[in-house]
Amino acid sequence: MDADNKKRDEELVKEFKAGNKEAFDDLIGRHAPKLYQASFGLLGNRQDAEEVVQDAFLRAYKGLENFRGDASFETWVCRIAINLSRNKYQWNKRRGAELNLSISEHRQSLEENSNEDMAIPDKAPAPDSVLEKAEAEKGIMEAFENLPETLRETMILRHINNMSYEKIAELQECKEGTVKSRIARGREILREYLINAGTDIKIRPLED
Amino acid sequence: MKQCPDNEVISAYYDGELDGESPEALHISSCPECAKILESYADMDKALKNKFTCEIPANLTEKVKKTIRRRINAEKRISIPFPVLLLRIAASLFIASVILFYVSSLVKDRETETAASSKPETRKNVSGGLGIIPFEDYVKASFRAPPVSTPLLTAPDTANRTGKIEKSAVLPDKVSQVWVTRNIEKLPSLISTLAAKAGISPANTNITINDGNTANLDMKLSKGQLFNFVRLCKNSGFELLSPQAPQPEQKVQQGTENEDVNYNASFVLGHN
Repeated sequence: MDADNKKRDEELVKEFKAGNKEAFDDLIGRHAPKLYQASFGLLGNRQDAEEVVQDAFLRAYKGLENFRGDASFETWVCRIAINLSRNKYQWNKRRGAELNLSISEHRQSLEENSNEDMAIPDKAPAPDSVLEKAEAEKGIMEAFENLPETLRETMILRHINNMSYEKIAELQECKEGTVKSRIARGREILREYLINAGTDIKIRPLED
Repeated sequence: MKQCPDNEVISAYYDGELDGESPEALHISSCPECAKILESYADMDKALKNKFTCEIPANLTEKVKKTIRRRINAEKRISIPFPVLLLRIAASLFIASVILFYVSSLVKDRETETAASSKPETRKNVSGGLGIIPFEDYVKASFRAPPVSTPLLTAPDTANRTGKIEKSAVLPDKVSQVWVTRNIEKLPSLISTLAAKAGISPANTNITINDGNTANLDMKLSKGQLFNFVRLCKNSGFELLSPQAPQPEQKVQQGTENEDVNYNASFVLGHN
């Protein structure tokens, strides 16, 4: 399936280079949702994610004539989007904006969900259990926000985009072993956070 | 395998990146401790998916396509190659400077004309074949139109008649000149009149009409009288062709007025 997708991408790129600019529309249709998902994961903001996707495809459009095809089109455009997301994240951070606006949205939705669950006592778990779960998720989010950027990025690509280690390694231009290690370390930090939830948590420094 | 593998292996197992037949995989699948870790990973996975998975906007693809088309078209419209831009700027500057130069020269001309007409006494005169005319008028006439058709050149007739004598001239004992006359038949009587006016004795004046076109005049007179005669001839409408002295604008050198001079003039009939 992946091979088919890759082959189709190659055909579309070839058509584009031959002068059929409409072929790029197909490439957008095939990859925009994945890019949006990854960007949203990295930025936590819908508007920023949309801007990143647009910029990434614009750059791809301009650079496609010189695209040599060393990597697949998907990897290439995804790498552009990740770099743009990284820059935007840093810029947001410098600007002092709340990095993850959706955290509050998320909290709100958790609370709403909790209320909904509590309103249907027959089917819902016990209220204590729901609250505990919500608290745990909240804790994971806080810990996740404090992860080093590379670990966050790697975990998003794995958990949200369901990318294989191989693909992540290609995107991040590192070895598969590094990806494996990053994911494991990220998970370990979050797990420790969960274990120590409610206590004075200190995330151990990472050497990345 | 009794000992649990490290978290990196468990993590890889969770992600399906570990060979399912490997001893580590077999251990993890049956170990309650490892199961707890796997459960915590599942919780994380769920929490992250819950937070970071969002609904893809329905019109995302169309929006991206539209934005790209708009931005590409906008960039095409404004993108002028740098050398072309430079050329355009240079051409604009050149045209602007030419217009500026033309306008400023027009204004300057106007100012010069105004100044010249308001202060005629300050203007220099120039003498020569064109007669005595103001210098600025001469220059302007030379650059604007043929001298003959310019009124500025015909105007100084009065100045010619009343023009001051600027320079004294030393005459030899014998002088020959050529004049142009409009009427050869009346020449003898006119010359007699002018000679009388200049105080020249009719006995020393001899005029001969050669044919209908030329005449010769021989006179013996003083140098002072010759200067007066020449000026009278000029003022009477004769045109002096010879460049040598005495010229109508010149005056006799002091102390030589009474010296004798033999004067020979040839008169040629000219047409209007």
